[in-house]
Amino acid sequence: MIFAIMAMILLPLAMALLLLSPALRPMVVRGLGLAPLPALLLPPAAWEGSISTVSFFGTWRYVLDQAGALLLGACALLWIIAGSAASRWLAGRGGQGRFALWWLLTLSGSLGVFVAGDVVSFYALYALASLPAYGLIAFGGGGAERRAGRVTIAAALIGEGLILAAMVLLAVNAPGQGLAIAPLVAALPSSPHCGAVIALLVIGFGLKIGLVPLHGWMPMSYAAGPLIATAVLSGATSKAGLIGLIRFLPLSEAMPVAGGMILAAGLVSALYGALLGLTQANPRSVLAYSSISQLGQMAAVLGAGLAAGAPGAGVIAAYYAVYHVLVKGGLFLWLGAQGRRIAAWQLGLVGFAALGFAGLPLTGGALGKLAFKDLAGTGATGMLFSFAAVGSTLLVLHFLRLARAPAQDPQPQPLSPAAWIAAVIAATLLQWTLFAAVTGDSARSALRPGALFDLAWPVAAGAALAWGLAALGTRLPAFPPGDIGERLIAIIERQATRIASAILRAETQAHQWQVSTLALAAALILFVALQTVFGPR
Amino acid sequence: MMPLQALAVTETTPGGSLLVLGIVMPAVALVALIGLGGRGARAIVIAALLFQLYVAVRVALLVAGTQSPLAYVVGGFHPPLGITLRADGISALMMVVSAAIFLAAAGFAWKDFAQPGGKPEARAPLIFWSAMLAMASALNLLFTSSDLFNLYVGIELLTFAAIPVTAIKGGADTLRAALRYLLFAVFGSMLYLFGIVLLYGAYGTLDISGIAAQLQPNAATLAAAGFVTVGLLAKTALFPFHLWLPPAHAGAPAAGSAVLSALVVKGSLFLLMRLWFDTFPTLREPADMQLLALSGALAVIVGSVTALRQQRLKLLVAYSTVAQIGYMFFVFSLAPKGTGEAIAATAWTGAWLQVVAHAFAKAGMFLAAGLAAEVLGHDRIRDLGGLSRRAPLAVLAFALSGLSLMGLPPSGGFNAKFMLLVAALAGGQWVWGAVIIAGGVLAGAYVFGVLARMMAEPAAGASLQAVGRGRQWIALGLSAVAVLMGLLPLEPVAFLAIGRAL
Repeated sequence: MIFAIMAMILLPLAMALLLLSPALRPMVVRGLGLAPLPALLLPPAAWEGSISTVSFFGTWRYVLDQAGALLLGACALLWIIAGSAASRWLAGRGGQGRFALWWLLTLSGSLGVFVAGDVVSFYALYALASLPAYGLIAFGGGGAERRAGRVTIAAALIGEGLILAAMVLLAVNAPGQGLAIAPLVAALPSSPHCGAVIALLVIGFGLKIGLVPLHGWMPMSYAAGPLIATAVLSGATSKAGLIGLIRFLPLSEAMPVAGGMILAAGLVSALYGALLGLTQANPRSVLAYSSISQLGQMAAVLGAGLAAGAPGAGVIAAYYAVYHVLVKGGLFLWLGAQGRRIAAWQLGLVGFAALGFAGLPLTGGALGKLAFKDLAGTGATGMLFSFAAVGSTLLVLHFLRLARAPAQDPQPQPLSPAAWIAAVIAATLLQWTLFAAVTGDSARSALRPGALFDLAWPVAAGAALAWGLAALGTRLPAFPPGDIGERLIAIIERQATRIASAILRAETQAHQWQVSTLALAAALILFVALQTVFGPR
Repeated sequence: MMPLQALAVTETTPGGSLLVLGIVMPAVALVALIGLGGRGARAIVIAALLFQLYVAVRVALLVAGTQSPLAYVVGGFHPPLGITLRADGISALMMVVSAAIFLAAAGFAWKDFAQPGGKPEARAPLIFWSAMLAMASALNLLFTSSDLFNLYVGIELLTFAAIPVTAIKGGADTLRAALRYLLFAVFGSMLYLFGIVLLYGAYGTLDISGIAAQLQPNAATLAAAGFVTVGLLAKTALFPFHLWLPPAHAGAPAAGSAVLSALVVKGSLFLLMRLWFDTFPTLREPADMQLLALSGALAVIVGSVTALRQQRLKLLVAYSTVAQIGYMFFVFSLAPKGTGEAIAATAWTGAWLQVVAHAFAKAGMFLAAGLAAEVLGHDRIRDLGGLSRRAPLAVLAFALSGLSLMGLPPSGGFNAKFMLLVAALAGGQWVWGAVIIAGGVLAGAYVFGVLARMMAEPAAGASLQAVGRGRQWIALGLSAVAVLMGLLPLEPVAFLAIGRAL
């Protein structure tokens, strides 16, 4: 297994190094779809022996558990599908070496993060999954794309900083325990810094999964750059934040307060994303809001698990995420594959898959919702999850209406339609096959009338609501992509510029001779004075 | 008085004469250089530096093997009459680092400072090569000496060898920068000299262990500590005494900048740490140590933000040095007397890892920046596009160095910052922890900005020169060392404590 793990992380990096040679470059670009293949060896192995660990160099450890294996398998499939499409899309295009470089770096981190078993590996691979995305988003080099890339990276860097702080605190809390994640997290609940660590983790990873109000960068980022890149960024790399929460939250300990807060934050995201997505006019932004809503639900599931002390919540959230990985990626691939006209069967298939986000019976998404039903509970929280599904229905219908309208700028070089079809079908098949293994119930239980009703009513209500709104001719206000988050980003940008200018002015002041020599004298006096006042007698 | 005993040198240890060689060999080569003329200069320098590396590695192996410091009593005269040389763990480490980086920089400069036959000899190559030797010798003197006046000589020699390197290009700007450097360095020297005069007056000796053995917290000692410290701060370019560093380091030729940023500023820092941790440990006053850490924190923030706003690549890299030096000063407050030994050892290791990782990363980065300027004919950051086509290895070197400066694993920079952070948070010094993290985020921003530009398409009408593979490999090799340091386990390194009594 160690070879498979090493190959999975190192093969893309090795391919990236081969890009240095102009002769090999076209070959590497043609092989983008092959780079994730080693990852497919891992999930089956994990399934049989639930958790396996390897470590070397003392610090570096790799762990494969069920939650990681689920996400790893789904993301690897998406990377393979999108990689093959990308090879074809890149053929004959300028800057293909550059695109392939950022692609391969992101790929290595995006898959590796699911098996990282120590804080150092995790931090490294998480960064690798986040930072090279800049090159993919800003590939076209336009002003809007560069800004989107910058904002995305700024969010990622700040998230990294918070996560690093959390990790160091984890290590400080459990001295002598090494740096493997599991023992550090197990020691967390009894530590005095528990609250601070969880807050840092939720904000740090929340930035990655667009937890409201940390979501502003997501619609901006997903609306820019080539669609082939957005497909993997939205489908695969956003799950780095999810695996972070799964790995670092002490799910086996019941922590009602912290869990409840995460549950609330997740549900707010779920509803907020669905509602605000309706105000968007760009189908790509709508999909971004759908991601905010879906990832919010996953966070909410984890929050519910933490509140109840249910270690199984990680696997269930991962199972729900599998569908999102492939279908969200598939929807972006579909947007990229559109020609001028859209056939009815396409719309049907896309609509069926996308309504899975709302839990339409028979879809893979419905199985995901059944899996977390017990965690969601039947009371108020269960109701809120159902409302989120209503919102998702509205959002998907809104997306379909926008996407059906003839595109203003048809893709000059559409992606191959095989890609999105493969992604959507893979998602559905995976969910149906894995259901029994994850929940312990047979997949047939998803077809019981009670379950079907629970799943169907939010979709029906959403559809009715959408029809009603359309019939009444209601116009929703149009918000800029990112809404308050965008406003927040603008404020931060402005303030950061102001602070930077002030610092620069101070630096220029310090550059003057008088100032510097006076500072020298002042430092001398201060130093001796402090020494005399406080020093030993 | 345990810690003081440990410092006293009584007899020459086996292999102690290596320490003399480390200082004298470059000086001998310098004489040969002047005697034989400039044509063979570069060959002589490379040979001397190779020997230097050999000596340094031998010293390190001996120190590691015996787990005790090497010592040499010059002429058999014991202090206070004579002087002694002494190499403990950190001395040996710095000797190796310094020799390796000097050698790499000399290899990089091999072509730039050639003395082609058939033409009258130019002045610049001879100045450059002799300055390299003088700096190498001075650094070894600083790393091994245990006599305050000897150390003064070392620090002066270092400064006066460094200044010609900054001025070697000869433009008005570089001359102004060099003059600035000179004046500020002289300020620093005066303060330092005044401090040691006070100490001599009070204790009648300049031997470090001799002073440590009879240290009294009286007015003269306190004043002396202040003078010496502030003088060395000026030479280390700690914020707000950094005004001379960016123009001087940015104006030097690439190989020179690499050595200046990687090693020369560390000379005075080494001395500062030597003094506060080995000579005046009992004088260490938390309030003063916090003052040093505060300056370090300001350096991190101001240096990083200023780097972010630079238009020129070499200035960006130089401001990044200002910021990175700041991290090293956290050790003064993170390893205080009185707290648990584990925290102090963690901070101590973190600080030295930062010194070494920054040395390699910054040397590699300055060399990469030099190659960029050669390929493009300028070093405007906005127009760096196309570099990745002509000099892909230089871009890779810049990226790897950047990884270490940002503190992303695997890299020495990460290990350093992680350990400093552990010490900060375990010791309850949250503010310094926050600054360390913020500095990493800012470094990420400036490194990323540059890398994105380097990867971009070339600007229309840009003419790109080709550069050789060899020099790109040298830059890459230095950066790779900074990254490979990330494979070290994240725990205190015992070697760094050899010969110290923490």
